[in-house]
Parts: sequence; structure tokens; C-alpha cells
Amino acid sequence: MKPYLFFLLSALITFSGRAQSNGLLPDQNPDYKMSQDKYTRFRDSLLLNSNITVQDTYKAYDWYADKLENRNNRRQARRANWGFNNNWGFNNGIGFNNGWGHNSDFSFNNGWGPNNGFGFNNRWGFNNGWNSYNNFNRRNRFNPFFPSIGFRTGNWFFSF
Amino acid sequence: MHFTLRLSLIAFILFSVSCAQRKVTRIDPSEEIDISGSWNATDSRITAQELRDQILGEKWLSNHLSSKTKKPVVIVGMITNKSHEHIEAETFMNDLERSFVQTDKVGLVQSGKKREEMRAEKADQQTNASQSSIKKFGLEKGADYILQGSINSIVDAFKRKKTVTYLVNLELTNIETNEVVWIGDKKIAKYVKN
Repeated sequence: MKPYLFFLLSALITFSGRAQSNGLLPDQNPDYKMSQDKYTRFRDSLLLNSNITVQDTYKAYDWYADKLENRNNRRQARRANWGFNNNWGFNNGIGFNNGWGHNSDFSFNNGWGPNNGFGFNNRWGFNNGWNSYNNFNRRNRFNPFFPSIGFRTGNWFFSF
Repeated sequence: MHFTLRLSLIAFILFSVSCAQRKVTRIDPSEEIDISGSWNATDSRITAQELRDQILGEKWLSNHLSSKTKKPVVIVGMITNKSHEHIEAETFMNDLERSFVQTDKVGLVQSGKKREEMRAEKADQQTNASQSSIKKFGLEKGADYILQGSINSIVDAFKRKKTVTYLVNLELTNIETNEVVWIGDKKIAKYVKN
């Protein structure tokens, strides 16, 4: 038993002596310097979010909140478009660019944006400059070979 | 009634109705008031209380004190909010930090921008302060543990009904060994009916 103990003890002393001579603590990884150098280089950027709440939020499905948000968006869009896209302003039934040639169907503010296509006093509804019909019949759509020819009385346009 | 008088009366009524006064009253911060169902001060306070009790009452502290003679030193790391709402963890982390200092059971060292500011101040002292009062570099206390965490949420909503569960999770890790010595969590569940 004694020789074994002696051998074990001497081995331990030898190894610990070697470790200490390399500047290593007992059980320390001899390659620790690689990691230390790597993280010392990037420490500033890695500690950038220290003691900070990083906001990594997501949008949860909420039927009621979405409904309110959509309603709000619609109201804001309506307010923003008021004066531009109604029956008394630009690009509508009474102003210019309103079915008299091009820029009537697929252009700006004429039936595909918010608050301008499917309501009252617009192109798709009633009293809209197009005889209460829509812009998608061939006659009314801009086509260089089939110009819209007709006459207008008030809000009513009579084409041939 | 005279027409002008009647008109001015109507105008006055309209004016007073349109200028409805805003009413502000001071309330007790510990009072539970839920308005929208979102994360609020009450949730923050409940979370802080629960986590404070957990972190100061669990065995990691006694384990540390038995293995080392000094009290543990903690630094606050990153908290990630992965919930569906904007939540600032500082609201409850500050309570936790205050409890460390007040109880004197756990040491606390600065981190993040506050630490940067402190070092900048120290650098400034090197050229501006009197020699006897200069604070030296390289004498900061190194933390034994880092406190990191996350906030998660689960939302289940249909039409006007909604349940929200918030999960606040904090972990304390030994910086030298990477060993997680404590995990604390707090769940808050709410049922919201609009």
C-alpha cells in the first residue's frame, strides 16, 4: 500500500508543479488563453446590453385590438384624404381627371385606395360622375382606341 | 328671450361641454388598478416582491457563505423582453437591487452604462482631481454571480375575450464556473373581457 501512496503523492506534486510553472491553476484548461483573448477583444460589444431590457417583442393575435386598430387606421386615412378624394376636390366626380380620358381607372386616388372606391360620392357608388356605374366596363376604361366621347350634365356623364 | 341672448347661452353651453375638465387624483402606488389588462405597476410590484423573496431566501446564499467567507457579489446582466408588450424590466429589477443593498446579504456592483460613466469619471479624475483624492483604476470589485433573465408571454384571444400569461424568469449564474445557482420565476395570468 505504501509504495502506491508514495507514487500517487509524488505524481501529484510533479503535476501540480508543472501546472504552476505554466501559470495554470489546478484543473485549469491549458488553452484558456485562446478564449480569454477572443472575449477580451469583443467585450465592449458583448456588454452593450448589460443591465438593459432588450425589447424583442412580438405581435400577438388579438381580435378586438386588431379591430380597434383597423378602425382607427380607417378614420385616419379618411381624415387624411378628406378634400383630396371626395366629390368636391381633385380627382373625383366633379374635378378634373375624373373619367375624361386617362388617369381615371388605375391611377392615383380613383377607386383602389382607401376611402375612395366603394362608398358614396365616388366612382363605384352612386352620384359619381359615371352614371352610377363602375369604371370597369370597357367603354369607360381608358383605351386609346375607344376614347370616351360624350357630354356631361352636372354629375352625370353620357358617353357613346 | 332675446335672440342674441339665446344664442350666447347656447354658445356658452357648447363651450362648457367641449371644455370638459380633466380630473387627476393621487392614488396609493400599492393600489391595484387594472385598466387595459396590459402589464402595469401592480404586475411589476408583485413580480419584484416574489423574486426578492425567492432570491434572498434560497440556499444558494447559504451555500456561498459556507464555502466562502465573504458575501456574494452580484452584477445585473441582460434581461430580454420576449413578450408581446413593451415591458421595462428595470421597474422590478430596481426593487431587487435595492433589497440586496438594504439587507446587506448580497453585494452589488454596477454594470452597463452606469459602469461606463463611473469609469469615465475615474478617468477624468486622473487629470483633474487632487492627488490625494484620485480614485485608482483596477480596484473594482469583481462580481461572483451574474443575474440574467427574460420575460415571455402567452396570449390566447378570441373576439372580446383574452387570456394573457406573463412569465418572468431570472437566473443567477456563477461567473467563474458557469454554474446556474438559482432560478427564480413569476407567472402572472390575466383574463381580459372587453
